[in-house]
Amino acid sequence: MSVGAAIGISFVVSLLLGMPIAISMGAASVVAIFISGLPITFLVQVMFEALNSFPLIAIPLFILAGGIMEKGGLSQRIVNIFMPLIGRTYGGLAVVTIMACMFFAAISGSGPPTVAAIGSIMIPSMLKQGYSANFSGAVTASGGTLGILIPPSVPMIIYGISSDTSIPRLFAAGIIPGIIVGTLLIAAAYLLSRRAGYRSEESRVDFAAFRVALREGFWALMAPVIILGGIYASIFTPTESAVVAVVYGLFVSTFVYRETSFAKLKEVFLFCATISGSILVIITTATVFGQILTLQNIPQELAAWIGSLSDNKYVILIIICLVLIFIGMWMDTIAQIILLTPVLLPVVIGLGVDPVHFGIIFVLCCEIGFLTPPLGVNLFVAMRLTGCSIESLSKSALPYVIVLILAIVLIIFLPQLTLWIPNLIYG
Amino acid sequence: AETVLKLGHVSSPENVYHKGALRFAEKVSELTDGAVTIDALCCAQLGNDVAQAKTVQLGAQDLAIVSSNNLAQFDPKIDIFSLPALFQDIPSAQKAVFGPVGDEIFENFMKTTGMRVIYTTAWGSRAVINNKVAVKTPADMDGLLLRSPGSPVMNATYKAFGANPTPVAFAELFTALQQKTVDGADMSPCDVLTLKYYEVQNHLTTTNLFTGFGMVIMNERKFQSLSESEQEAILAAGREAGEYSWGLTAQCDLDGIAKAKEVGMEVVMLEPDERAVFFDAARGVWDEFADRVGGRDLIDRLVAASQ
Amino acid sequence: MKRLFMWLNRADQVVLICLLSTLVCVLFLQVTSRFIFKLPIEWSEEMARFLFIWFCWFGCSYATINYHHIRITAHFRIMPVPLALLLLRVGDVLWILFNLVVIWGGVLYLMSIREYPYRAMITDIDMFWIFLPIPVIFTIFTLRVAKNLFDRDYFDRSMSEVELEAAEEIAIAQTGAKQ
Ligand code: NA
Ligand code: NA
Repeated sequence: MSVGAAIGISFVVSLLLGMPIAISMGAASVVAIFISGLPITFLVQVMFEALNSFPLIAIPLFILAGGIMEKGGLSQRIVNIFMPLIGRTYGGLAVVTIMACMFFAAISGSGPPTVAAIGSIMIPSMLKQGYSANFSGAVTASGGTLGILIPPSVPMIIYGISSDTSIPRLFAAGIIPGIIVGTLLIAAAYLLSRRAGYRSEESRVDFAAFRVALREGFWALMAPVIILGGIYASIFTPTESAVVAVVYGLFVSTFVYRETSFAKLKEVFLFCATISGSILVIITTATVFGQILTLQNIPQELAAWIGSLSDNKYVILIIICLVLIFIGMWMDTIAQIILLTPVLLPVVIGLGVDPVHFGIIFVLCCEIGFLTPPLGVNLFVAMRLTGCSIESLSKSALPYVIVLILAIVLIIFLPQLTLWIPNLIYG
Repeated sequence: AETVLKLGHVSSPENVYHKGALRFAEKVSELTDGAVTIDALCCAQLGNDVAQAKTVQLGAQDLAIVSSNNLAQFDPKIDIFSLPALFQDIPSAQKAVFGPVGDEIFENFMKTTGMRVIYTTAWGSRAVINNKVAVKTPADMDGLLLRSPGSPVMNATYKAFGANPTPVAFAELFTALQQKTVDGADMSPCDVLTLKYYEVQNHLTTTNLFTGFGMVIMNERKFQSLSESEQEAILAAGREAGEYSWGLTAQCDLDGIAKAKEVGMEVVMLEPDERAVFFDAARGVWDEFADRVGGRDLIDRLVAASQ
Repeated sequence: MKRLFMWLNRADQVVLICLLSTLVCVLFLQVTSRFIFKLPIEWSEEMARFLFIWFCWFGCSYATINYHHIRITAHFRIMPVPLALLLLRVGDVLWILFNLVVIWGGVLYLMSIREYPYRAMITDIDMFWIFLPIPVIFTIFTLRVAKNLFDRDYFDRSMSEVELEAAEEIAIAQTGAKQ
């Protein structure tokens, strides 16, 4: 039996036995290691080295920053700013959820912390106003995907390192697509709410309250200014921006809003440990898995096969997106970027695609991965917040997935949308 | 049966590492009549270069190309090649590395690490590029914020000139130079050419303080598992690929300097006596690292071998 | 036995909080010392990576306590509960086997570092000490998986209770957390 077949079968069997995805990949790798006669030390060596990478440190730090800002009152104040503007619009709370996610995305570098920070506030309010749990969970999970498209973004940092592409350029390239996707998600949420009849009868637009909330929220509003400003002024690197977010969040919530307590911080730290421990471990075994496949030439053959399908760069990009979306159902975002960037990038560069443009397309495909079962980490967070099942949540998230696909098509055919700002800043 | 050996490295397919590896693969197939083939995997597909070296040591990967300064983690003595002001230029470095002193160091490396050096592949002789000042003497570098790749020896050298070495990741370097987060960097003219640094920097000085190369390492047990004729074929192919890639890099550095002049960078080509001033100043750091790399005597012999 | 795990959980919490706080401090020091004091520190980047690696593995072991690991369980809903339970148990046993392989590989790896030197680039620490926590953490990790497998004696109870437990177990696995 070929190693490729063995690794595939043992992976699927492990998944069906309910083993964690990380362990399933590890177990399949062990089978492949025994069959191909590799030393077992290879397993632990690659598992260790997979985490021995400075940019990955941003992941737990952004999770921590999200938790601190949530418990310390920063996310609440961001939400408060948008609330008085809703009035009697259909789906007002859903619109606020996505806007708050867009805003929080400018602080946070990854998806799940964005869902947790905004969802923990908005989901209870939506339920109170009669929105269905599935709808509330799906809208927050979709808004949370913007966490990786609007800078800062951990996946962009990892892509930049894997492809030797400038990270600040990638960040700048994410701004317009981020706004486009945010707007499309808002439109979808509005239409869905209108059909379901979600709206609050009694509230009205209140500019006085808006001004008060704006003043109250000043320190929360400053967070993205400091984080993005610091990156663009080159005071700290994109990876280091995560620790600045943590320290800023701690500072504001302790000394300005005075909402932290030792017990809250302990809870946030342990939450961060649990999430990091269950998500980052997937990267370790996925890297082993990927390297064994690489030693079997499987990704290279996949890339060669994609390259052979057409000479048209749009056709190739669309095929790559379909493959990425399919793999994204099963695999963690970061692991996917680490494994596939080196094999896919030469294919698209050969067709004249700008690596920055491809990076944004890649990140958009990863956003869909956040929302697709069986491994959809944003859905997992929304599950915890709403108590819905993954099946019903993923069904409710489907319209937003379609919106994201539309956005990908738009971004593929109009490269100026991504390249305009970075070219403006960096020439 | 046919043996397939996997060779990994972290550079792009256009880089000299890969071109050399392809020549090596071609030659190995030819010399063994296809009994041994080399599969070259670029772009860090098997992890970063230190990780690949460890994987080769454990026997899970057959060959890897790893920059010599990164192999000091496995054998501190290999850091002798990271010392500043060892070699005047690429040809003299080649003379020393390919000679008996080089063989002696690589032989010791194999005893310490269990990895055989099949051939070496140069990546260039570092120049100083920056946006502030035309560097003609070491004193011109005083206060210059220079990107450092993090190597302790390099940091010590630039500190000796009064410059401030600052760590910046390679992927963030282009914009860091463009936005003047750092004033400059040291890199080979070849990299200045291929990575288009001439677009964002004004001055280039051919200090040649560091001439670096990648080492193509192979797990010794794997090497010994091959037949004697196959071993000879691999070593012969390595010699040819080594000559070829050192030649490529020497040419690429010349092209880089030509391009820098063409686009209007101010290029300072140091004369031998001007370079000697830099070299004398830099050799001050030898004492600090001499014990670690095998003693002053070995350093002197290596320098002598390059002349 | 119960006391051992309570003690382990408490110890893990302390270690995790300490590792994460130190990580934040080291990185903040890196930023401030470079920007404010213009004195880049050389060891912080490497130090942070090692703290991060230990943090992840401790976190991974810790996440086992409440079934936080991400798994696919949708298919368990459409099969009879005893079958689902059985499959989950088989999966847990294989999980333990995998962990044992990692511990074994880890020990061999440590021996290889003893055979050939391997030191950290900047701090020059012997990588033996950086790697040593991994087999140790995996031992604790394995104990936790084994505990999840054994602590409730399903087959001594009445069938209905088993089904109840199973339903809860599956719900936990599906939501990834105890509600
Ligand atoms: Na973001
Ligand atoms: Na997914």
